Amino acid sequence: MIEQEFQWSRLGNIETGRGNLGSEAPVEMYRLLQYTIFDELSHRYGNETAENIYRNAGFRAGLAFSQNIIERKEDFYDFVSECQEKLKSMKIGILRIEKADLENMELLLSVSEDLDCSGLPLQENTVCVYDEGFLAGILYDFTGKHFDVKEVDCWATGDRTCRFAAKAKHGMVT
Amino acid sequence: MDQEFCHPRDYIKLILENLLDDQDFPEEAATFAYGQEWLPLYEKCVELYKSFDEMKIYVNALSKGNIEVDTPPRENHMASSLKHFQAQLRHLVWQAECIARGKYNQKLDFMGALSEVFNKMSIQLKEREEQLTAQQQGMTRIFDTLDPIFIVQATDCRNVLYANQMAKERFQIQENMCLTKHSTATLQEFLQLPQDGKPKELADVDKQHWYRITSARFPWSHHQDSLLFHCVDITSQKLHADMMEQAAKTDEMTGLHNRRAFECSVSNLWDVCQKNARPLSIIMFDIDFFKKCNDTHGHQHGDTCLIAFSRVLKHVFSRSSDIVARYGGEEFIVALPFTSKDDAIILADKARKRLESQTISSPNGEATYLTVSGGVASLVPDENDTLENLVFAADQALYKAKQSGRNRVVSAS
Ligand SMILES: [Zn+2]
Repeated sequence: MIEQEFQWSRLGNIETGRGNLGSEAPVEMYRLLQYTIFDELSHRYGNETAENIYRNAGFRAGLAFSQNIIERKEDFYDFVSECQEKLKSMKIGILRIEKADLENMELLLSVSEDLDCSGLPLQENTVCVYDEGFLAGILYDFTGKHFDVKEVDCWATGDRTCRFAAKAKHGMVT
Repeated sequence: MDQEFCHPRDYIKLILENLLDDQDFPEEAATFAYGQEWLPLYEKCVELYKSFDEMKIYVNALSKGNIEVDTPPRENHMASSLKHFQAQLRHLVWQAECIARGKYNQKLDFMGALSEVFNKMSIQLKEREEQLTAQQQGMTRIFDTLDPIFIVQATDCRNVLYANQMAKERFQIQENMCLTKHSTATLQEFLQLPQDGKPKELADVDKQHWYRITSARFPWSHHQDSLLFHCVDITSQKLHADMMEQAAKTDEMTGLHNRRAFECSVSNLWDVCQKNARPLSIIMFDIDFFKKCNDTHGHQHGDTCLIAFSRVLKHVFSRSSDIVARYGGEEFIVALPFTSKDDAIILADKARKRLESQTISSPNGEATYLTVSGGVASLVPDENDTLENLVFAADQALYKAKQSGRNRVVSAS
């Protein structure tokens, strides 16, 4: 699925690079970047392809994030706690677990105050495809299995939290 | 306003009233939408009613604690905040489950005062568990320094649940409580003991150590029945007791049985011979002119003479079933089970001759000689006889031997 993993070093040395402005930027700027790129992709390749590109890019990001930011944990509960902490401290969102069926590898997660969508105006569909990939990337790093992650509720569709259903794909060769 | 025509606003009023009064949707209101103009408004009313209905069901379920209830569909925006709240409640359930599994690093941050007490509880639980673990480790260390052996064994699977350091060393139980061949055999023996909490004495498989073992049922945990073995090493006590017992039965100078020990043991021989209808022979010996020997050469020489004769007796009467004892002073007694009078006479005479043939140095280097007189009595025991009579008969025979010139063996007639 992934030909080459993202190198975290490509993000550069922000501390020295942004001595005065610091490492944080307004959420508007992040969203502006996200949605303009999406618009361009959608315009050129159609909505579905644009979404797939976003999902796959999210997967790369989630995997890199997990490998570089999330401390390795053996136990699932410790892993979740670590994810919650890091997603919060990196201001991506507040991760909560609604359900975890470890036997069948099925999870129901919610992300509140999501970086991508919280506060967006109402629209027809969920918008957090990038997050779907991002979560799948993190789960892949922890379990070694590919997950189908689908956003079932989103701020953009009128909810106050984004809810993701994750389920391990069976028979997938990595 | 049934049959009469009403203005659409009346129908809208009716719909809203029913909604607020928790009544069903007024079906007759559909009639107001017959005009194209009013249809969109009618549809919005129906949608509103549906949304309210869904909310009612949803809130009702949540209020009853059914936090797994299905959320209203996405387009029901009325429910969105409540859906968020439901998601948080479900996360709370998950957090509680984590804590139940001993993962205390859960923090609640969205429930106001509940968050505060929840987090306090989680911290407390963690602290308590750490305390308990520390205490348990402390207790384990104490038990590891104790001399007594403690082993807890599961009743069902026979796994060792606990063994203190001494138990591990003595019975070769491994650090991870796995058993070796040695410990398996030892525990197998322990299991034969009655579990009445009363101490039993048992030697280990190698017979190297003796233990006083208490075995009792022990509630290791709510769901694990087990046995507690508490063993105290009594090897040295046991050796001491054996020595004391031996000392009480032994004549200190000659190392032979004393008179008391003889009397204890000989009655057994009497019973065995009676049961098997076999003869029991008694020989009484008395060293000749012992008083004179003492007076001439001193008491020390007298002792040497006694020891010399006891050696002769040990040599001649060497069967394990023979009982040889110092009866008192210079008197000795021998009990020979399954031995006829004739054989007893031969053996007694052998002892007499052996003593006679020995030279015993006096304290001033002079060679002295010693003789002994013996009396033999023998019978096949039955109820009409007594041991006392048999000993008396041997004594009488000894008297005769003395009377008839000493250094000889005489048998009772
Ligand atoms: Zn979303």
